[in-house]
Amino acid sequence: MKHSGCAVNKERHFSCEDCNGNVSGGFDASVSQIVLCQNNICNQAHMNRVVTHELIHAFDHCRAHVDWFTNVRHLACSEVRAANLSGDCSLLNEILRLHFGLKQHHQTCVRDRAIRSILAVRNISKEVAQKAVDEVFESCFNDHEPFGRIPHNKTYARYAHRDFQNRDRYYSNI
Amino acid sequence: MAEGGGWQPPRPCEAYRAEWELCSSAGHFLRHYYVHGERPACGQWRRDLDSCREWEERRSAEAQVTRPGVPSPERPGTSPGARDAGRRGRALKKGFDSSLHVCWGACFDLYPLKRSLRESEQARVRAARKHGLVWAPRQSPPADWHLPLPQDNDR
Repeated sequence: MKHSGCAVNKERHFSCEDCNGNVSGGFDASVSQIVLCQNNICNQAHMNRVVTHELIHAFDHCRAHVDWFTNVRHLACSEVRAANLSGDCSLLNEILRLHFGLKQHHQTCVRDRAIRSILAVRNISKEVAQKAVDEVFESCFNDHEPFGRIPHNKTYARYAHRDFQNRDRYYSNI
Repeated sequence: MAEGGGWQPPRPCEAYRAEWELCSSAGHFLRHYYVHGERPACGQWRRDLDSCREWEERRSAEAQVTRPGVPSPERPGTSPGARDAGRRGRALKKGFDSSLHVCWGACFDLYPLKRSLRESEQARVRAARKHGLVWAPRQSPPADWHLPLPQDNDR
């Protein structure tokens, strides 16, 4: 975030609030702030995942002209990326939700959760949300910025950070 | 002119080793299958690791031969290091002229390694960028990112 010009200040860019329903968090693009639903976040692992998810939205807001409010495809793309890269759809989390599947199941989960997230913030039909996700899925599922890979666990995250620190050497020698 | 002009492998060899080991692990196999529905391909990491190590070994040998004070291959010195350098020099033995710091065959041997590593990494970058973007990138961050919240201004 800092490298992209959006250094994060936790007092300015995070807000802990009570939320309706079972929403865990959100990104308010109108004020560039992440909202964490303190009444719905259950444990540290859940907190880590929610913060990562919302930071991906914040990162997209920082690096691109995302039209959050009138372009469903833009919203769908960021939700696909957040579901893909935050750990929302890890094998363990899906099993805990009693969603059983192995071969390529991660992508099924990402699609489903992206649609759910869109419907939670936009008054549109499920078909419209699904169509938007389908249209952007291939591009956005394969956009792994800023990690360069899906950070499945701390090892992958550590390697991603190592690559980030090595970027000058990398791009000057390829 | 010496090979490379300052070029080095895009990643340290240790990074290639770590990537190859991660890719080859059972955990990665499972995660990759869960995400992509197929087994991961790890051979390129191994080839890159081999190229990187070979590049480092040959570069190190070349540096030994070109080090100031190290005798040329034609005139091996008396110290063990110089004798080793001499042996390496003779092993390279493809027309090295230490006085001009010009190397011929030994340096050209480095070029295929450099090309292999560069092509491999360029292919990775192309694969990562082949999908078009849904949105337009910004030239600068959002104007309000660092501004106080609206309610903070009203106080």
